[in-house]
Amino acid sequence: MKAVSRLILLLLPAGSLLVAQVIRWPDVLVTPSEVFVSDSQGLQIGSEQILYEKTLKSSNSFFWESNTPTTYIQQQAQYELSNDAVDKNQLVDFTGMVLRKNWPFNLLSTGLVWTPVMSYSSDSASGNILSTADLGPTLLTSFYGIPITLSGGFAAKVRNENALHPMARSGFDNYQNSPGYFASLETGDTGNPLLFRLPLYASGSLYRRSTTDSKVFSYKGTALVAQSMPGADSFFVYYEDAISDGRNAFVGKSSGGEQQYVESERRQGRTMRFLAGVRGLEMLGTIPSLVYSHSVYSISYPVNSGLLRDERSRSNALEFMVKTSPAYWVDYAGGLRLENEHSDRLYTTNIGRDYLDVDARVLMLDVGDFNNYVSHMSHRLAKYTADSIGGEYTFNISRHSKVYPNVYFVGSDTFQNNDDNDRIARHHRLNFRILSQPFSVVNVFGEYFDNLQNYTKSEQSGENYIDILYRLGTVVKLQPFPRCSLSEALTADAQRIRYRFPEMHPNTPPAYSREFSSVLQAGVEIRKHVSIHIGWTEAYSDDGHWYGSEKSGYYGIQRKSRKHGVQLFGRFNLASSLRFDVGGEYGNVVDLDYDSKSRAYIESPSTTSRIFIPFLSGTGILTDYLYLDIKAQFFMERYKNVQTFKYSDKHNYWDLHATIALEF
Amino acid sequence: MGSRNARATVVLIAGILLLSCNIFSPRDPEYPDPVQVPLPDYFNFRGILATTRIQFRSVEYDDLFNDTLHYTDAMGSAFFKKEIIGHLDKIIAGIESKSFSLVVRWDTLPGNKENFYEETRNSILRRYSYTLTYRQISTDSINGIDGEVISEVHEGTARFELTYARLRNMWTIIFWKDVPDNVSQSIFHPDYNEGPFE
Repeated sequence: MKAVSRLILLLLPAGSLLVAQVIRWPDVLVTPSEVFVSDSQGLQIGSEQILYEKTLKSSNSFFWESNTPTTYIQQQAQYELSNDAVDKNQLVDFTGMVLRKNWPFNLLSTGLVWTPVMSYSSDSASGNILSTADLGPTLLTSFYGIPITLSGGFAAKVRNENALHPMARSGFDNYQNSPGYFASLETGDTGNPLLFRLPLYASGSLYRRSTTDSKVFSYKGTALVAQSMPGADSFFVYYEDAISDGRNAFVGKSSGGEQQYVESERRQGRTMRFLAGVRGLEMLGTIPSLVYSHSVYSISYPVNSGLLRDERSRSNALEFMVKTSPAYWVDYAGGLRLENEHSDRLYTTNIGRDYLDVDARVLMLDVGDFNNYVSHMSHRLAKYTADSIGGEYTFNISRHSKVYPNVYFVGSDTFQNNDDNDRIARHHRLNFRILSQPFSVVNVFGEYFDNLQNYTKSEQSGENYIDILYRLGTVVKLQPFPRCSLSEALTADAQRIRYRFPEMHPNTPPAYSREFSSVLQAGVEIRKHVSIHIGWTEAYSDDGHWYGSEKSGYYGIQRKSRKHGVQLFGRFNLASSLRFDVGGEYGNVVDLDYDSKSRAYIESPSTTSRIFIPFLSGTGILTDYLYLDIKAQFFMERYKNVQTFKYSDKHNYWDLHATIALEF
Repeated sequence: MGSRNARATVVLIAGILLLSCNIFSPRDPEYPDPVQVPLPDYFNFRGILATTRIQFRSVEYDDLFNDTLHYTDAMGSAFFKKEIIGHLDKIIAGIESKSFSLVVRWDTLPGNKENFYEETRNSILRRYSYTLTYRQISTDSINGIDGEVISEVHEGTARFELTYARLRNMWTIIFWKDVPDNVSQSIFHPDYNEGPFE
């Protein structure tokens, strides 16, 4: 493998990766913070440009609103472009609204909404335009303080399937339109309680859009009851139901490559979630919480069930979490989650008992129904002194256990899924900070991962294995002089596979690999606001197989890899929160493969490479209103030619990333 | 105070009961058949990493695809893991019941050798051209006679981003952009519904 670019992130401090917390209090069960609408004008301008692997993605947005005692005006403009070697896609959105407050009556506001959206897709030989627009009056009022917005009006869809050069030469001759109407109703407020003193946050929306070739209906409702009383437990209940039903129309290419207008099948989708949680008062120095959740997700095609794409999944989960109070002598947070998921394919098809005449494809898909029993547990225990010396231990374990219950017998054929399996993953991590002084910090850590694959049926159980990874590391940070900083990160990994039934793998001994890496970084402030930084990376890795028995066997190395990298850049702090980096990275990867004829390791030209990356980056807040984050890199990769063994194969390209945000 | 002690006791007992249920232990597997049937890889996903030293630990779709997988087509429409798996399984059901043969070849883009990818410790980017060939023997349903062989070749380019699922020690596909030649939807597209793949 050509691993030259691996050097880029090897300069990151090793061991800095964190394990995501899986069991945590759901976001939807949080009391919303109150939303304030100021009487003022606001302007936001954002721009993000990414050129990555010769693919350009550009996203530009403009948002302006004016809120005065008599009028509210909102206008946005969005332009998105993606352009790779094959296709170019553009999208423009000019959605906006104007509202005259308390006109013609008090408590009733009247205005106009417009949502013109146009997309243009093209390649070297063809192009198409698809534009949609809603335009109509809107009314805003409130009922017992609950806001209600009603809109409706004219809707249209305009298309041109032959628009390589839009509007050039042919004018509007190739444009066709599908007129219709739209209507929408929105009510409720997710940021403020629905009724005074009642802790209910709810919202609902209905949307209907109908043109001559597409009809869409959608509904979404949410409700949260959050009762948080001082001196007592807190209760939360959340319900969400969303339905979409309809068919769309879009422009695509036919099998012959011509542009054509396609109407999709009518599709019904539903997502329902119910969550109930209780967060307890402090008990024995700990704060417990419990959450039950139930969800249903379904999709179906009522007009054409022969598509065989309908599916429904249901899930029930129970989570128990506990954490220590801030005043407790040790920090602990952990939890247990138990979930039962049932996936039902072709749930709208009634296969029944008399399935002998059912299409074999239907039976083969239906045996994909499964029950998945998931259990997950995590713990984090930490204790640090006032001097920041101490340690922490984290433990995560999860088990996914799948059962495929459906079996059909048709003549001598048996339709059954034999992939019943368990997947169990464990991770232990122990980290100690053994020194924490103003000018020196020393961390040491160890990690253990294992992943078990366990098929229960005899057809697959020969593939059962456990994959084990051990990791040791240390990170040392020093500041020997006031203007000089130094850090060193060392890691060592060993990974191995162990088969559950080794006799089933007589010719493929279990895989084994090792990796050792060192990352040294130093920075010197040479004058006020200017510093020089250097980085030096050395890494060695090898991989192969473990031959012979577990205790008396030996490790046969098939490939060795050495990576060397240096980084040098200057940092210029132009303002308190704005800085620029200018510099470059150089890396070299050398791979050696074992040659069984000569019994020696010889260089692998196809994976040995050099890279040089000059770069410029800047990030920070330029004024109170302007934020920018830019990075420009030029990759110069050199690969060894397989015949000449010289670095003669070149590959150069730019990677650019720029984000600019302006807000008044 | 009494109710708090009671709650603590309930929590403790529930914890002991749960941990005694072996909820984190594997089931006992049956002893393997002498002739193992490897999981079929109809779409040759292992071929994506064929020229690298790493490999997919499993081609079972739940393992192969990251939970946050995004599949996007040439028009930029995005689809998720559940939709992709449902569609691939539907094709496989068609293949297995109608005796298709399906061959997928992933080639690094011509003229670029293997340069079109970038790897860090956590992600890999790879670009390929692909060729998908399927053959089907049409059967005379009335007389039960095998007829002509229907053969089609589909080509396109694909871009994959792989991420290392740290807790599971395995590489998974997290992004897949599929740009077929001449058509807007490839056979991999969840809405593809033509010919024998209906």
